[in-house]
Amino acid sequence: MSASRFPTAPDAPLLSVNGISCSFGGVRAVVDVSFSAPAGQITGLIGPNGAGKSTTLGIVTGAIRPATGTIHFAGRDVTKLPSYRRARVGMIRTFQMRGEFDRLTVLENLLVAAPEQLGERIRNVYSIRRTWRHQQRELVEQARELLGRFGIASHENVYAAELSGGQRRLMELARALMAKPRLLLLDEPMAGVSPAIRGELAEHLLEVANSGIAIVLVEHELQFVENVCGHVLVLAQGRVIGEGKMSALREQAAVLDAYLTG
Amino acid sequence: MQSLALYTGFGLVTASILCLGAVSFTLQFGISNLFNLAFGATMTAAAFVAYVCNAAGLNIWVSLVLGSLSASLLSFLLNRGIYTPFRRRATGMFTMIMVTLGVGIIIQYAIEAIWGADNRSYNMVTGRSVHVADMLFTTTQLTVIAIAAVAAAGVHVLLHYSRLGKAMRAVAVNERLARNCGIPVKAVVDSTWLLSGALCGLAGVVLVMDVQVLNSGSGDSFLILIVAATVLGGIGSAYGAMVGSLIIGVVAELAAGYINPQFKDISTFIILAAVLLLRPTGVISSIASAKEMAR
Amino acid sequence: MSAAWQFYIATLIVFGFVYIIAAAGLNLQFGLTGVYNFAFIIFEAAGAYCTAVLSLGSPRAFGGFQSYILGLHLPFPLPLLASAMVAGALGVGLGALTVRRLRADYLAIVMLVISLIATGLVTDYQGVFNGAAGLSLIPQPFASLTSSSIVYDWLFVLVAGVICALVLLAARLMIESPLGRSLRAVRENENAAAALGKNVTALRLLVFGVGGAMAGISGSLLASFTQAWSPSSWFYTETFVLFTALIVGGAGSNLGPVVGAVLVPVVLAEGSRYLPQFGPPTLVPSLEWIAIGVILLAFLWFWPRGIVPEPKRTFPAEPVPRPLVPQRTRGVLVRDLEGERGPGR
Repeated sequence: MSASRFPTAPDAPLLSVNGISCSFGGVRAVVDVSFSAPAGQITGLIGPNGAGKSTTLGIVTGAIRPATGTIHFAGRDVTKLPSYRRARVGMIRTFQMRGEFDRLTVLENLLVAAPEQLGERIRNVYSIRRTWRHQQRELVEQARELLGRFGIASHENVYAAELSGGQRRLMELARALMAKPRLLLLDEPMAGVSPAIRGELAEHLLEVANSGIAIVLVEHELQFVENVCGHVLVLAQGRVIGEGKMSALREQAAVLDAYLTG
Repeated sequence: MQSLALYTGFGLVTASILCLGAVSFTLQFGISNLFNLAFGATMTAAAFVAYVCNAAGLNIWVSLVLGSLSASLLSFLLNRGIYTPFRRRATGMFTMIMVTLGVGIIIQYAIEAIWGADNRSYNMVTGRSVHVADMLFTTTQLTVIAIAAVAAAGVHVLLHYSRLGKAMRAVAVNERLARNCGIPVKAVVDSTWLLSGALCGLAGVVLVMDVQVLNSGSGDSFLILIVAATVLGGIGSAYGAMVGSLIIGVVAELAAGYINPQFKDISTFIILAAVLLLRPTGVISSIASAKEMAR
Repeated sequence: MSAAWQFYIATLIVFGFVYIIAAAGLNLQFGLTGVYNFAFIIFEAAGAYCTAVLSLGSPRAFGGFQSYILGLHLPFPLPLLASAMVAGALGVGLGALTVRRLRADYLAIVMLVISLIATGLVTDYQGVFNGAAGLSLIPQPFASLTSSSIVYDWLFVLVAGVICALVLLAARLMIESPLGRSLRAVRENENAAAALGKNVTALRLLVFGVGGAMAGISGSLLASFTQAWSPSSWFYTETFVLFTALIVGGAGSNLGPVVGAVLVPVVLAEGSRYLPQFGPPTLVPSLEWIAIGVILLAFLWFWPRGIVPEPKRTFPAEPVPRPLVPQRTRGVLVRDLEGERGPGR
């Protein structure tokens, strides 16, 4: 892979995480982790099981409260902001497991994600002029276009619970994009996805990053990480033990150790 | 001071009845992850079986045993026939509550359909009064306390020193893991329901022996106290249930004595609501929080 | 048709409307948003008591045989509106207390206990709502319109029907809107919903409030019609009947609460009044309850989604070409002629 494949990162990091840490019942899950994710770049987060990757993601998105540290997003300090507020300013995550709305159709899953819908405000629900319907029609078109891009357009009326694992991943990604993110945090988006689709997904992610969105990617599939990530962090036992390009990290002893013993 | 002792004495009796019920309730929750709201009706059923035996001429203590056995069988059948099939379908927690509520209503009103809504009582002697320290008991009440103490001790021995008991604890914390370790889960679950059913039946009959009144709602009125004791002690923990029973039993009687007999119920409701809202894993949390973590 | 029959039928219809309104409110909470509000009946009670103490005159009027607060003798529709607001506010308040992330079964138990506490408090503090005896001789709203009892009853049927239709419309608008979709998302997966920007707590409080208000309206109508209200009218088992109605009718759909409310409380409970009484007086009511229990279990096993399950929402395939010039139809400016065929029902 030549360096030009990796989208160039502009100067100011969109996301800046500083010195976060937290513990669960005596176990220090994340210890003094710092990193930044610039817009337009895909940052990888790798490490053995239990290294604290999902926990880190949880802290960044607000699901878990850190004991120390700060998180800055688009210039503001969001450390104290509840997770739904962070989502509203453009920080969108996907889930490792069970992130979909089972008894909503695929299309509805995407519609839920669209921000600032008129029809979500009570005054518009009960107003005589049904202005939200106009906006919803446009959102439906947008959603369909996204579904088409990810190849699941024919499943728009299928309940999310009835999708296969790989299709769910695709849907979640499409849904995340529907939310107009500025930062995407993806928790193992490749899990359960067939190798055939992986290549497509990699292309999608690169396109998304190229459009100026920052991506933080937690993954086990190291080849995939090497293909798409411009910058990678290695976590083990809650600490950052290495960062840089994947190709360089593969050689580092500390990293190899972590995976062997991890 | 005398009334303090007196009410504490009442409290010990209530706590003993509660102990039988709460330990049973918590065992059922532990093994099947079920808030069994049909528990009260099962207690009532046992009490009525005892009533029938007693009215037919049998001694009250024999009737007690028969009532207990009938509740054991009933609980076992309910679990095998209704609760387990629903659970096997990965039914949600709330739906399971509705299921147990439905079962409870059927049992309660079947009893009422057969025996009507009148109050009845057992044919028994309460025995003479006995002073213990400053407290006043009838010999029957002392026997009840003794039964509860023996049952509690028995459960302790079972859980900690017998293979079945250890298996029960294992299944309660993590069923899949237990199965993978070779524990015969189905047999363990069945045994737990048989045992807890027996305790439930004991509680039901003993309750009526104490309050001297039996009707189709007898068990249900006591159920809230049982739930309070169980949750206070940390649901899933048998020891928690014992401690919780002691606290709730004594507090309820003290409140009834010092404030207002009416207040007995409300004070327990408020304690229960407070515990659920503030510390749902209870004061002695073990299995409950382990389950929460495993969720 | 004889007067007795007319009274019976009118009463049945009013009860039907009352139960439908209550079921619609619970449907927003339980069916749509997945909130297990096992204290639902106390909102209905709040509405009933509110209407009672606002329409009754001063407690001293009847020689003081019942004691209660207020007694402002307000005319229709003020007590009804007040009931809706009070019950709604109570809903928001109770919701705020319990909406922390409790396990589903714990939440149900807490709500159940709160329901019991409420009953206990009202029974014990007699000065507020006359305790266990309850309130009676509640003035009928708009009674001055007619002196004939039968005409009044049918008039009440009409008013209750209109109110019921409005409540169902309000419920439908919410269910079919993006707001309804967000509520369903909260029901399905609150973490994912929050991760997409939904304020889960605010949404739950919203349905506690709106659902509570509907319960209050239901209680207000019932208390006004039967002119009496006591703790026996709102024992915690009544919530159970409403949940059964929703499970049977179908939670989450528009028609489900209607079907369920008609089948369970009305047909089963009231209709059986019509059966010849056999055996001791408690036998038939006991059999009714057994029937409710059996029906509930049967539905939970065989038809958990109910008779009218939540429909799948689809969206029309091709965009309808919009006219370039806005059309005027019936005096209301509309942007296009697409109409209502869109999502779901």
